[in-house]
Amino acid sequence: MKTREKYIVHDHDRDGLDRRGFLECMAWAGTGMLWTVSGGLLGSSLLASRAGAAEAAKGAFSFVQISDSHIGFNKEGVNTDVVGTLQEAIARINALPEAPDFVLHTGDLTHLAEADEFDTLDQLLKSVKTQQIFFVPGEHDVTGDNGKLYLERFGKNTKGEGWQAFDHNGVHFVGLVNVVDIQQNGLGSLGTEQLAWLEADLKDRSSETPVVVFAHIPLWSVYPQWGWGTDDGAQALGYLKRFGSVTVLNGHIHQTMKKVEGSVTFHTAMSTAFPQPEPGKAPKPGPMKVDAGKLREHLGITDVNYTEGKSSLAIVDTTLI
Amino acid sequence: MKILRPIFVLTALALMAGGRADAGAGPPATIVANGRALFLRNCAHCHGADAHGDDGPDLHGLDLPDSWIANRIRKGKKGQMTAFAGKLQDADIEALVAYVQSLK
Repeated sequence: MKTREKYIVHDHDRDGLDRRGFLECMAWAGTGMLWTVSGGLLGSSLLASRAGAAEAAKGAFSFVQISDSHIGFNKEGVNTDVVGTLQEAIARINALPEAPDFVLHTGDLTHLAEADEFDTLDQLLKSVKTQQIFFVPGEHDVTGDNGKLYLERFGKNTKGEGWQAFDHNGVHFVGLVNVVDIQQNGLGSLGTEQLAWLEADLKDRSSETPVVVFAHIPLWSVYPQWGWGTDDGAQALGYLKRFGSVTVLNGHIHQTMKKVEGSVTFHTAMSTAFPQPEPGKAPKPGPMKVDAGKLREHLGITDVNYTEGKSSLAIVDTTLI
Repeated sequence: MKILRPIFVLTALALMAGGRADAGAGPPATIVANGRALFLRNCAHCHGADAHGDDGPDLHGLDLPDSWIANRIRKGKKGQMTAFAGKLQDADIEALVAYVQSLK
């Protein structure tokens, strides 16, 4: 079984533990790295192994986030084999020291919302070693039919346009849909009906309940000029403010980004298909050409670990290389 | 009545064509507005919310007939653009054409 040290972990904090530094650490430590949030501050730590840590902690579990697989996308110079790179991401998941309890796919399953694209994704994900996969749609999945095909295949046990909530080992998970009603400024939106549902869903829960929210477009304002944010995201975050531990997982921007505000940790995941430019560092967003040999440095998965009694979830990004 | 009938027919034809400039007048603002709403839902993620292009091309100043644009919307482009035939109604496609043609 492969261990985490075979992989590369992003240095979100620019704290010296970049790819090179990490690998150097691995040479003597033989460990994995966890990103943790404690007292509202993001930090990193090296652990003997996540498996060992998990064994020591009661109620611990992990899940994996994948995003933006864009099945159907095919662009020379960017990625002409998105099926292949998704398969590599699945291999990464299946090689984790412990199988994740479940997987979250945070949208843009497909590129053109065509039936055959959805079917291909469905077939590919059958090989993931996990108990269940939860989905929220991206704007590419609802094109043309407001998500009808998507909901037929992946909307089981969801409400409205695909909203959902479930509990797992004491953690409350909420999947939100912010891609159906894109606003004039290009931002996503949740809409009044979904916001009312969210408010009601959270209303009677203890503020000590850890909450994980997942949606496609970032709920926080990453870069509004490119539509990288949710118009009414602040209202949703207002409902979450009283909770002691909130983790918000998004996709859409095809790169990792992290921000901590009080008890809320925001995190965006890499795509399994293609990267996009950093905010403002290109005339416009969109698929970014990189050297063929470097594509996999920009693609990957996100592994999230929860330990009961800790106020934070540990988030590990792993690239495909 | 004989004088009014051709006017009625021309008006109806203009409306059926989405009120394009071809008929001598711009499309009704309501159709363009509807096209804009449909664009945001179905096209903005590739062409940009401002239609100046993203993954897909800039749609401003296209020198193309309505029929060409409508055909592209219906049939899409393999691997690059969704085929909207069967997903959007004819009236929706006409509204989208009107919106795209309004982009100067």
